Amino acid sequence: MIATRPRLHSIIFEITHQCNHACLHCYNIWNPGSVQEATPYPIGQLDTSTTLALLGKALDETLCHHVTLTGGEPLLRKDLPQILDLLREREVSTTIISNGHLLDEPTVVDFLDRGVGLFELPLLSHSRQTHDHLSGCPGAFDAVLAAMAHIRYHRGQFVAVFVATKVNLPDLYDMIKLSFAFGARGIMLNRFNPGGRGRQHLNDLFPTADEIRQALDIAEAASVEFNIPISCSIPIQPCLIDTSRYSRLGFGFCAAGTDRAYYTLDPLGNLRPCNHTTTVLGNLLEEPFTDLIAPERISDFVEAIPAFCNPCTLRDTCQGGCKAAAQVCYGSLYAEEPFLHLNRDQAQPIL
Amino acid sequence: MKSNVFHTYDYLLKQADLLQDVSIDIPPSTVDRVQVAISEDILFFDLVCNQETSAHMLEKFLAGEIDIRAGTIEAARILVNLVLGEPL
Repeated sequence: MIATRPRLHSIIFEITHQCNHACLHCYNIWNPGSVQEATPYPIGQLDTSTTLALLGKALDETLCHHVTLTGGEPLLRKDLPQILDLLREREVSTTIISNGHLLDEPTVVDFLDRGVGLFELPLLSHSRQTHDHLSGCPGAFDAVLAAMAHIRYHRGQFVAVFVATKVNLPDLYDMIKLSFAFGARGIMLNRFNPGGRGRQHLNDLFPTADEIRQALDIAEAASVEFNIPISCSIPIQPCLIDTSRYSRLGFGFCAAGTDRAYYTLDPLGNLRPCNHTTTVLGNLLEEPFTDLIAPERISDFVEAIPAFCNPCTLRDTCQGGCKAAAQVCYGSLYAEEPFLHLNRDQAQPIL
Repeated sequence: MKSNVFHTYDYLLKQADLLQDVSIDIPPSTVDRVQVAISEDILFFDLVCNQETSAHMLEKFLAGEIDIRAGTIEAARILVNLVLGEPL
């Protein structure tokens, strides 16, 4: 029995679809903007006991010692403390992805006591106006900085997340400086990866490959200056940008189907290969985890690579970038995802 | 007294320095929070790195007997001001 449990680095649990922000760059697949609007993503939420049973089943049926709680905005879920308690009882390390708006001091203290090891909080600019604009919510900037200050004061850990768009790229250096001063343990520099509501703002927000290259230059230098780790988890295709130039930055590629996959559970128990895709593998309340990630279920997703990439020697590593973005923007996992498609003229095939 | 083992001494000094730069448009109460945390960590390092006091202080720290918030915040502020070259 134990031998059949898949070993996973992490599971992402979207505990609610609800959110108190309206980020222009939001990739949540249930928000308007996806090409699959004709068949809306199922929305809803299980009651507390069923949610705890769902999470317990996920942990029983896998070898996984880390869970990331996200949403929507996870703090809108009133039974979040009970979810945290379950994770602590199961000796599972926990990360919370939040916009920080509801992370007041008592909540920070409570969550740290309940074992939250890391908070991932957005900091989209050093400018209040820009951060609030991109967040779609007045007060977002002051709130997230206050949350960071509370976490710092109580010796918790947080990383600051910068979603790189055409609007805020000029602010990257000052954002890193501000994050460092506030005690961030690291920076996540994620290029805007459109999906959900973000797709509506593709033309306004989507950066060019040149702009991302300049941002990486700035990030590399800032990582040295502040001695702070910076990672780029949204894939950057080596045919567009030579990422080997950036020795200080970490780069990731799609890990779907591997033990580093971001399997994502939604609030109803539906399991997806990652948090950006609309592909549902099945419902964990109805089937074992192992069956949901069996090759016959997930191979269509894992093997999807655009035809443009076939001659490339890095094809199997890069996989064309984010296939989920291709899916939600252009309707096919085999399409060229937006960063490749919109910068195609600069792509230098690696042969 | 709490400390954060992830921040080195030099790192803390640089944080304290930069906090002055970046704090112009940030609510003072938020900046104060961060500054107090940095000050406490600097003081912690100062105590444990001092050869005359380190063993004793570390022992007390590990035993949970040091309460920096009750009486030494002002000392920590002075320490940071010294570091930053600000008037006491």
